[in-house]
Amino acid sequence: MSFQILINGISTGTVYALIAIGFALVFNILKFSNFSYGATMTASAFIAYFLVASKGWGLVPTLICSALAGALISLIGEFVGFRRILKNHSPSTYFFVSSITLGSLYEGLVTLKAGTNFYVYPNFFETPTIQLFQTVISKENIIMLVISVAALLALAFVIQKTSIGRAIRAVSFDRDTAQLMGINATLIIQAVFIISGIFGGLAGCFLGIKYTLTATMGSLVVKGFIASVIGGLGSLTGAVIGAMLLGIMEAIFLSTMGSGWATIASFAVMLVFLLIRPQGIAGSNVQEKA
Amino acid sequence: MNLFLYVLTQVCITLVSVCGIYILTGLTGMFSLGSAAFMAIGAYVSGLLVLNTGMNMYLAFLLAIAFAVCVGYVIGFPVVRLRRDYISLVTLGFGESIAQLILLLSQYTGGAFGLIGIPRRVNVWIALIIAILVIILTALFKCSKYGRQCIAIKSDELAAKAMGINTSRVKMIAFLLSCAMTALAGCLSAFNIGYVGPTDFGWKKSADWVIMVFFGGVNSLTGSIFGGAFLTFLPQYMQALNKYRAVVYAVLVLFILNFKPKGVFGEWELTPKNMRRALMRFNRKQRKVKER
Amino acid sequence: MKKILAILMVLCMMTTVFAGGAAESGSSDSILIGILQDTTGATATLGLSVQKGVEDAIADINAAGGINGAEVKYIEYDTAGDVNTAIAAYIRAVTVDQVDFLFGPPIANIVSGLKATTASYDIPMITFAVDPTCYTDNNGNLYDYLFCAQPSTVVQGQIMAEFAMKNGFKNFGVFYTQDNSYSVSLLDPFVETVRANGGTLEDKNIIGYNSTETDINTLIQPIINAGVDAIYCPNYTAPLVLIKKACDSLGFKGAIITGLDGAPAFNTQVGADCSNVYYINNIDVYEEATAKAIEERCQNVGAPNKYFLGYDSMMMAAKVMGEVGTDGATVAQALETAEYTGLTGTIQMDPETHMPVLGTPMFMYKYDGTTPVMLEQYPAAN
Repeated sequence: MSFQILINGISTGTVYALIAIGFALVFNILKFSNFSYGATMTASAFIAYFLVASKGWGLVPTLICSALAGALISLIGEFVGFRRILKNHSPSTYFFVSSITLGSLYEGLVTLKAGTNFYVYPNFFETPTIQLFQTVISKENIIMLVISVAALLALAFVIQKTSIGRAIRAVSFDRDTAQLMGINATLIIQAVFIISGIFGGLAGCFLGIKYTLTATMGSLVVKGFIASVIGGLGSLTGAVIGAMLLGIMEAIFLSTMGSGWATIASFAVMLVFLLIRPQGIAGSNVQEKA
Repeated sequence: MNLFLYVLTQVCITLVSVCGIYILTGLTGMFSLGSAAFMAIGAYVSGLLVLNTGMNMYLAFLLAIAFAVCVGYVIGFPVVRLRRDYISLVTLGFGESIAQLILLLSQYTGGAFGLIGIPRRVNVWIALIIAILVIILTALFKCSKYGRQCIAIKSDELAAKAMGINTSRVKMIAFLLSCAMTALAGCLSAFNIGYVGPTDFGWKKSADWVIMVFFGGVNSLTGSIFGGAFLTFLPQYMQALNKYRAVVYAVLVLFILNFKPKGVFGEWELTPKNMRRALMRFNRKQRKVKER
Repeated sequence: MKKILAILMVLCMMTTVFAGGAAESGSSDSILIGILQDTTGATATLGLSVQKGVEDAIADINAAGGINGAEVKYIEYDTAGDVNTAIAAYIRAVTVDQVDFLFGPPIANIVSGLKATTASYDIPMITFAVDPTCYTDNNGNLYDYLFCAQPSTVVQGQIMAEFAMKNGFKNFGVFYTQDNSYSVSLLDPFVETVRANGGTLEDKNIIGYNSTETDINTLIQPIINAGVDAIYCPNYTAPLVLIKKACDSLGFKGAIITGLDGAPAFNTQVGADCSNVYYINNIDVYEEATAKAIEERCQNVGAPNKYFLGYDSMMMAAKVMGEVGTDGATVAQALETAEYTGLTGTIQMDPETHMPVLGTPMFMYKYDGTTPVMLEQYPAAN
């Protein structure tokens, strides 16, 4: 296995990590897998493309616009898709169905606006790659890695050190008790959706830069889902580690056995992993109802 | 009329698989994103059997279903033992793997071109009869001991276990039944259209079935069937809306989920008793109106 | 009660709406065309381009007085990239709306699913799926009402291979999409032609991948490491952009040979130097009439070559219907030997295959920077 494949794997893993974090955040607090997250990424990337990037404003404004759009969409999604379900105390399966539907709604709206054509962000870098010894590293991957790590650190700081972070942890641990303690759970859930949306926007923008912008690119959310399960559902560090492992594992399988068998092999590894260590790498803080 | 019959056939085929999803999701509370893969197995196995050996179509159906159940048993082994979130993940990965396998075995399955030239022997009446049989079977299952055990597991698995229910066995039975039904739907579809494409069985299709079940009422078989029929027919009315179809569909489902979370039918079933009761209520109302 | 009403309501709905819509058809002084394309879903760009082409042709025909004085109307149908939806739309077109002629999608999987149904109705349909098996049943018999207006993938693959060999490439790699029938059908003709003409194409350098795969770099690296002169990539435009980016970032210096999908707007989407990209096209963009048409009409068209195919085949259909009337069986019979000279050159149908005869013109291009340069016409112009 060459060093290049490792680099490729990490670069894929970085994208998966961004997806997995937003995914894990919502899971953490509402205990359901938010499948609308994929379409949120798509929609915010498209908004950033049409509002900013197509005018040639460069990388940073595009990222900011995409993150803001993601936050807004996520907030609207919480209101439209999940607020009432939460109030009705419906079982978590409802969130699941609602999130899938919400996802196809976003996807439908994006298709209405953008058509099924695909779009490509303008090249943000003069020379897109750096040559290091025998390996090629693309600049967008490095920037992606840096921004992901920065965003992660910021997130960790918010969750561990600030009062809102404490509230988030309290609500995710036990919503009802937290509410009794005077925490406005609705507000906290909104805040979590906003943060998750910011990550979604960043992830969407990076996906658009690394690949192409299509209305269906949100289906990559599945990778985030797998990564966050491997990492341990709900755990943020676990999600990142899981995403990296998934990216590297896929790269190795791809280079050794080709496209189709790689998917099957990844599935087999995942299955074995789930049977051996169902709580994920980080060990989950999600308790089974007793 | 031809169009109506064709869409009716599609509805019947969808209902067969929706019944399977109802047993899995509605009764037992398990979520599968890989049910469509069993449809693919049914379609490909039955199609290949008939194309290569020229055997009787119904025998091929039975063999295909048997094969799907065997595969279901292998994959069901982890499924019934894992947390609910993981079930959707495992079935999702399984579905993707089956799709890849179909592409990789292209010398048998036709690969990306799909399986072409299956005899078109399933007409609307065959589909209708099979759909009705499957619905009756599902209703019987719901009323049986196993059906009640499934409902118990759905509401509280731990308590069900404490009551002495062998949860993994009951879950396995529900899972296999659901596999068999989706495989049957695949067989019907293959022999109705005469073509099986490798890309028609993604997780979105499984999710669509789940949405149908929820739309009509996750606790009600009548509701699930209503949801399946309604949402399959709906796009036919929206030909003019064309582009907006996906959006309208999503908004409609969101509305139901938000404002009628139990689905259109809640827990209501279309049984003779319930119909009589509804009729009596209707008569009483009529009488009141007259008295006024 | 409400619930029983809901069931009754749905039952009513099921039966009623299908009866509607028949009112507008059947009149003798107008001809109704059904345009059955993928206008939503993954392949909508192609479908929308064909649709636009057919519509513009109909507008031009009407402006010129219609077909034998009869006005041409059209109805659009969406297949949504799904076989079931396509069949339902097809049946709706021929039974409810009673169209006289149909245009099908350029997607092999949809046409394969549709073909058996077309045998039950006598309405001719021109599609653009380039795989020959779309038009025959298992015994190799042609479907009477199904036609293709685009040279088959076999021809295209051969042309690309011959062209590449002629331009001095010796050692090839192939990177194709294994879950896309169009891509797969372009594979064998190319490989066979290269090997028959003495080119090198090792089995290990033929790599198929799935369109869902994200890590192109890892997948294509073995081919690049093998030191090939050219990589043949018969893929759709979106994956092509990714392949081009991957080749650039891995420092591949050889050529990339693509199918129809390497045509513009591929160059603008890559947004960088495309000088090593060769592609095939149905149209000569520097020919005067074509260039003018592109300039005037293709501002919002995703795939101009599909636009021209749609336009030309509608013109061809109009010519045939002008000669023999609109009876489905007669039109189908006349189409078998139809000939029409339009923007994509002369389309001459072959009654043996229901596809254009060998020798329908194709053009090879490369990019100079990001500007397309026409290199050669196939077959060589006399």
